[in-house]
Amino acid sequence: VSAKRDRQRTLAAAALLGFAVVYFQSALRLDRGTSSNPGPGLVPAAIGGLLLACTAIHLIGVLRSRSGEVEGAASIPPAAGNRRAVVGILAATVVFPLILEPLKFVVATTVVAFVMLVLLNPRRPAFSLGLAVGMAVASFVIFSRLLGVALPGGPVEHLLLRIG
Amino acid sequence: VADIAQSLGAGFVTALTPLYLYYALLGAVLGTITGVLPGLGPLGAMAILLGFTLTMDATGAMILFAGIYYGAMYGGSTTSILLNIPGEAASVVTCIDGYKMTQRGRGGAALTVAAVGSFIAGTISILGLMVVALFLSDIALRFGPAEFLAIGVSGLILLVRLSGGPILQSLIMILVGMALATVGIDFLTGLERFTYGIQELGQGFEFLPVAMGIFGIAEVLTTVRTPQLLLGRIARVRLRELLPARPEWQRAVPSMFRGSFLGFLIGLVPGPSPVIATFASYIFEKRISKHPEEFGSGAIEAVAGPEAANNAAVGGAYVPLFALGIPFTPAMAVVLGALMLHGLTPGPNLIKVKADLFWTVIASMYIGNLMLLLLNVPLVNVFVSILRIPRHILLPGIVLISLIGVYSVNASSLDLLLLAAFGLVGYALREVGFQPAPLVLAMVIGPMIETSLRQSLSISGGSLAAVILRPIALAMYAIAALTFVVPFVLRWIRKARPAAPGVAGPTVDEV
Repeated sequence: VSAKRDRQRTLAAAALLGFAVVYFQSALRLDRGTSSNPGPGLVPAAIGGLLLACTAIHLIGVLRSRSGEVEGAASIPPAAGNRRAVVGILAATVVFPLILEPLKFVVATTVVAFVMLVLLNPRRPAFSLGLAVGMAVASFVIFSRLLGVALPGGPVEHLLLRIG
Repeated sequence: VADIAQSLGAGFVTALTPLYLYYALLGAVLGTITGVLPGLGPLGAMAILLGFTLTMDATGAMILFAGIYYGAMYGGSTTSILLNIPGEAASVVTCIDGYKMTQRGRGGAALTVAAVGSFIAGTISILGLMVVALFLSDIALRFGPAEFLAIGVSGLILLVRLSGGPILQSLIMILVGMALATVGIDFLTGLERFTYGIQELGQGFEFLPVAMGIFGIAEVLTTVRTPQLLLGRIARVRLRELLPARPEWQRAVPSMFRGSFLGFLIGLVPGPSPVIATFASYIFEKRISKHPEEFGSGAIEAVAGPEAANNAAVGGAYVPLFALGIPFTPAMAVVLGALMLHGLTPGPNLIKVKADLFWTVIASMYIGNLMLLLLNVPLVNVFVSILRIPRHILLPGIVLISLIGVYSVNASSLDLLLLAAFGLVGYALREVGFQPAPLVLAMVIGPMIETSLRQSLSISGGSLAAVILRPIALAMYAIAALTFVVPFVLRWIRKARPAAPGVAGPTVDEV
């Protein structure tokens, strides 16, 4: 667990340093102006420089403290299981905008809700499907009918509006 | 005083209309529920509901959010006292003695003391908010860009010191937030920055998907990774058990007032003020108590003081937002986001230009506090039973509300992708021990700092000394620098001084 956590922390520190490098490089290409007439690049260059220094120090600290005690490490909660559910929920949030227009609101929401429900409770898929349909229909009625939110609609949504 | 009374009276007339009463009640109930549920705090709830506030006016949105923030403080104490489960971070301290009181059969009394303490603190802090915000906004009208730069910079310095995590990590989060805030078209020159040819980034990152991703989706993902709570039998609290005995009142009431004043003052400072306020109040009550040995085994002052302090800190946190237009806590950044969604520009002028909004919100805070007192004590068993909703149903529901909330604002798929991306960023940062709250705060304060710096440099002819050495600005930098440096110096002195045998002062760890 400790080695895995070390790896995660090193990866995060390297990613932050990478972000700092890209940001600082881009900031240096902007016009910094003069001290009496600062340009659009002045503040980004200052932020980028500081960020680069801080993330570099952080990465060095993480590399030096691998498999040892590090400041703040005690505050990191030990991760429990269910990584699959985390990845699945994240994937569902990415997929939702991609299927929302073609499948329209109720079907797209049912698919996403079903995936999340099954990932969190794989034992009762039929119940999860029923619940997902219920969630999708209920959220359409609440947000579209009651709160006036414009949601993509197709035949199913029109039918629901006519029933409602 | 007559003007204040008249404005407040007008605020009550508006706040007592059925629609605003409904928003206050809705906020109080939603807030109590989020306070009860571990994993979803007031910040997450406010971020998730941000998009839906577009269906109401700005005043309604402010009333709803105030209700959620106060309600969460009330709700958090319920599960802390009865089940030893802190519903949100500001209720952790209440677990220590609150749950011990429940084990001794005094859980009902602890709940009432927590609720009454919260009510007293809420009322005192709203009074403080009225007076201090009015006074401060009058002064702030005379501030120039150099002073606003000083407020922003010293606010961030204090945030680094007080946000709880390692200083370097907080600093990195603030710088990343400020870097993200520079993406988009530069307001002074019209030039694009860091858009890399992506047209949609021209307007910069929308606050809504960023806040909802980092506080809403990331909280859900973190909750998924934590083990499910196994609830045993939840003891029912009978109505007659809710009344504290006379000696309990005598010990609790002074603590409520002390906690209220302490909490309000801490609320004015950047950082997670409700959490800091509860710890500070606990330590203070223990120091001055005639029975310090009872702390940790069911001292009623240890429930009354911290519970009052966290509610009072909420009122204090509203002061910089209303008076200066600057959020000092992540929750206030979300409130500011709601104001901006409604086209309002927060700043010292807000109280004058939108006086009706300010006074209606103040009046609704009084009403919301009363609602919470009347709701929470008799309905305690109902709120506790919310914990029985299975997590595998609750979490997908929260994700769906977040997705619809973001989509409802611009009907934009890009916003939904940003929501997912910032959800991942927020989750990953928490996993490796970073607190993402300073990132979001810096994203909000960053543009103000940049504008103020560039304007003040232009005005001063490029002299940084002239910008820093203005009296008010210098005082603010000095206070921030002292707050930053003093703990290091004290730690160094403590290390350098040989410890006297057998003498040890109380530390936070002992709490």
